[in-house]
Amino acid sequence: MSPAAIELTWALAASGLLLYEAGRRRRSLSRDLKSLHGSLDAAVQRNDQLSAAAEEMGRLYREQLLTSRQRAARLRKVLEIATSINSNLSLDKVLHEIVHAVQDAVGYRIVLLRVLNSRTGAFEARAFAGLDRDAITTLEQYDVPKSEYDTWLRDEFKMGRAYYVPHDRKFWGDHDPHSYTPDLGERAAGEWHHEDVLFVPLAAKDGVPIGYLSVDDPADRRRPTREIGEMLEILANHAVVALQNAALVERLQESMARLEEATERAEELNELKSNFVSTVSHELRTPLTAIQAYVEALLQNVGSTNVTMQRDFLHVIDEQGRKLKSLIEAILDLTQLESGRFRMTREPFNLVDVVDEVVGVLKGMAEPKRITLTTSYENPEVILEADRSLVRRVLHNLGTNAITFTPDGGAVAIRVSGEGRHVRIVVEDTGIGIAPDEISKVFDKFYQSDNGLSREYPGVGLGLSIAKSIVEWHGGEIGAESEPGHGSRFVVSLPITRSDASVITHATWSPARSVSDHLTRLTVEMVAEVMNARIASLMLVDGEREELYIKAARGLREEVVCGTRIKMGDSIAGWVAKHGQPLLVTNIEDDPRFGRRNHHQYETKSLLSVPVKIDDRVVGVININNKISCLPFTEDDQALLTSLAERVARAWEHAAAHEATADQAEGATRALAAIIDHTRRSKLRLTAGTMAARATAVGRRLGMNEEETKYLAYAATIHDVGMAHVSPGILHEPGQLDPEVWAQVAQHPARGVELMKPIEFQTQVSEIIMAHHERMDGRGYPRGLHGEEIPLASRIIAVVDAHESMTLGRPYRLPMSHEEAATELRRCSGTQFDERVVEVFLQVVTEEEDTKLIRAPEAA
Amino acid sequence: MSKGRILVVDDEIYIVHILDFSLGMEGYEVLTALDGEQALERLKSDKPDLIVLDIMMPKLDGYEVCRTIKTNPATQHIPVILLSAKGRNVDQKMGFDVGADDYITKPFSPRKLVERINALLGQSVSEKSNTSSS
Repeated sequence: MSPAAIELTWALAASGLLLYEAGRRRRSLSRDLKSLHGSLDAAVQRNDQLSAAAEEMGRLYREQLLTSRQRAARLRKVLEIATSINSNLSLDKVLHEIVHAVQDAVGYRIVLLRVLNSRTGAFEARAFAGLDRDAITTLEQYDVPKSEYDTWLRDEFKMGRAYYVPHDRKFWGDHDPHSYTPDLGERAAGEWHHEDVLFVPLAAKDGVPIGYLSVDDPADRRRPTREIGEMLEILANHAVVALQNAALVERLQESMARLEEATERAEELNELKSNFVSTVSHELRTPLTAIQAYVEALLQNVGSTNVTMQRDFLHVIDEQGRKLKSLIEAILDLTQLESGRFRMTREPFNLVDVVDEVVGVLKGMAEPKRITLTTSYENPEVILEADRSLVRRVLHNLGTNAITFTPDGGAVAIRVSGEGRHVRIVVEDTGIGIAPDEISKVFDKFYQSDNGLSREYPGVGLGLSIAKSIVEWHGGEIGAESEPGHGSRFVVSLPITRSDASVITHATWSPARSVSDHLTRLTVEMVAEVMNARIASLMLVDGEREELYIKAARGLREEVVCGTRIKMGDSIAGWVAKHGQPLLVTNIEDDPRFGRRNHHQYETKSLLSVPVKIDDRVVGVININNKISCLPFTEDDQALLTSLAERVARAWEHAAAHEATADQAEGATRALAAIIDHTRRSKLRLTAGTMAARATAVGRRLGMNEEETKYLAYAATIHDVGMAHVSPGILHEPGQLDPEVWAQVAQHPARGVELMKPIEFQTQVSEIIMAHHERMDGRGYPRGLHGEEIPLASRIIAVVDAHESMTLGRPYRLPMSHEEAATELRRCSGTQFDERVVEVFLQVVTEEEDTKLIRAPEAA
Repeated sequence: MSKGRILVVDDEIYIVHILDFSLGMEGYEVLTALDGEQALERLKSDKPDLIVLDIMMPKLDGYEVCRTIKTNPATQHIPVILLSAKGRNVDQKMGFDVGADDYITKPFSPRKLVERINALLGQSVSEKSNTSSS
């Protein structure tokens, strides 16, 4: 063979292989697309059925009308009546017209039309002519069973398509209790007899019976002729058409309703998934389009000697095939990661080894672009307990991303260092960088391709998404920084072991798209901190499947986070989601509602679950278990968590409303972060929960209602968030505050209110925070309010706060005993504090100590 | 002699190449543009007999380009075939709403596209002769 021929043979063989491969991919792809478009397909299918039904209806009617018209040419009168029957009338009206047409045109005084009810299998009387009310009632009361009707259809009675049963055949016997026999008076032999029966079956085109038309009492008193039979047939045909029309209309309406429902559902789903589905299908179709077009062109030019063209085409097919393959792999990876079926295997390994392995692979990509790849480690051994292959994946994706966006001759550096109980991995490049407003979007799926960069920088735009899912599933964090034009830096922080992980996030394709991952993490963290719970989880509602799934959690294993799905209504969270009510269980094993064994991961038998509602619709559920104090949750905890959940909903709404703007919902995020920070700073003091519990106990005794105590519990928990702006060192020093610091301190109530604004919707709460440093004598700050001008809740918080601060001490002051603090409170009673509040508060504390519920402050 | 001039607009260079090849084999003269703005720019100087237009493109998408073509008296007579990876009915409806004469979903068969082009050009020629005779 000549070299050209060999070349051609090779090319053809390769094209064959590629064709086979392309076909295979296309098949698997079409399966994916099929399922993605499942609901739309169903809608389309119904639409098809619907138009088929409509077409069938039209066809049948035309056909029937045509045949009857031909035959009715001889019977002008019948035709006139028949065609005057308007098909737009309701079925009963049409049937009424038909039986009267029979009466007029065929000349029988009595006409009865029965319709087969396919459900009961009996013929029901449906239309009448020439019968009085009593006769109609009699006929309506008895349905003719189809089995009985079938015995009438004897050949001996046949007259065309009609059946004539003369009375002298004695077919029905002497007495038929159900039959209706009119009194026609005496009849001569050869005349119509009152026991004669003439009927014509109504049958669909395929012969399936749908009813029959029977007549009695001919005006001319004569027995029926063949012509009479034919006239009856014609009108019977009209009745069939009318009945079939009606059935079709009914089916049409049903299909319409179903179609409408399906469309609505599809639209709903589409809204949730539209981004994903349309993006994925677009991304998949793009390489497929190239493959199909080039393969077809090759096939059309099989005999061509233009080897260059063929080689070029095969090259495109090959490249696009690879792109498709990596795209499908990436989608499968993500889907699998997010499906909850994937299991994470944590094992200790040396991160340095994994980085070296990945760098070995990346070199192959970096070398053609002359990109320098460097690594640096703080230690030759950085042991991490994580899923080795997943971490490898993260490094690989970050490295690939860096190399892809770095121009020829640039540099990519990977650095590994320790950071407390976390490992920090930095991947830095000298590439094109990311614009500031784009930086928060780089982890979005397919982000890159939307930006139109994919032409220049081939990739599938899923690598960073996958990396983020993996990192967050490990309870770590990932972020990006960049200076456009100078390069980007991706920073990953992974907990060294599972117990170092804070919040574990389960990444998902939607459905609650508006709740950003960052906000959900903050939510869980805040709830866990404020409520002092070892385990806290946030579940979101998957409306499509009517299920709840864990979006983010602290203290739960990764498998639990990814594998838990609860049907609405089932179990505790399902109950809460379904009813939109909080649920407090003090002992799960004793609770008659959930009589079940305690789950091993829950140290305590008490749990608390509250709904997160936006516009009165439950969008999620917050669950907490295992109070760090090991005590059961109380009503006070429930009130506090409910208040928190209301603010969480507020934060999400705020975030969703601001998502479109560049502001990125920072206000809501800052508010939640401030609460977390405030709670952590207060950790040396009494737990926030206890603070709230004392405040609400005082409030209740002073006559506050449930709603007021709810505000109070929440306000008591967060009243000092504004202090975050005051440098902590200052407050730890003795002596007078200098004026500058004093100004800062004096502003903290207002700052707190400002900080909480994005998530605060109750002015009462803002008022309470604002006034918690006011004094009864008007010498407090910031507004110098007097006595009753100060909200009661603020007066309560002032006392609880002061007592706590005295009994816990300051770095520069020894803690006082409860008795000493009580004396001090009484001394300031009336000037600084509300006398009634002080008295009730001291009672509450005394009772607490009596019941030994108060814990000794931990030795600091 | 060429059967007609066709403007192919797509941001995927491969698609532009293969259409150039396939339509060229059919005897058409092919003009190309890689995005919506380029396409409209080209239309200022060149008047093709038909336009094959992708929808998802950077800068100016196919819907916008089509709307512009169909509202400009100088270009509104030119048949437009939208070529898109967007396969939903709503996408197609939107295509016809902006005045497209045909809508083909990617992946597509170049042979089918040629058939549709032949049909559209045949049709628009007969329409022209109708109007001139009336």
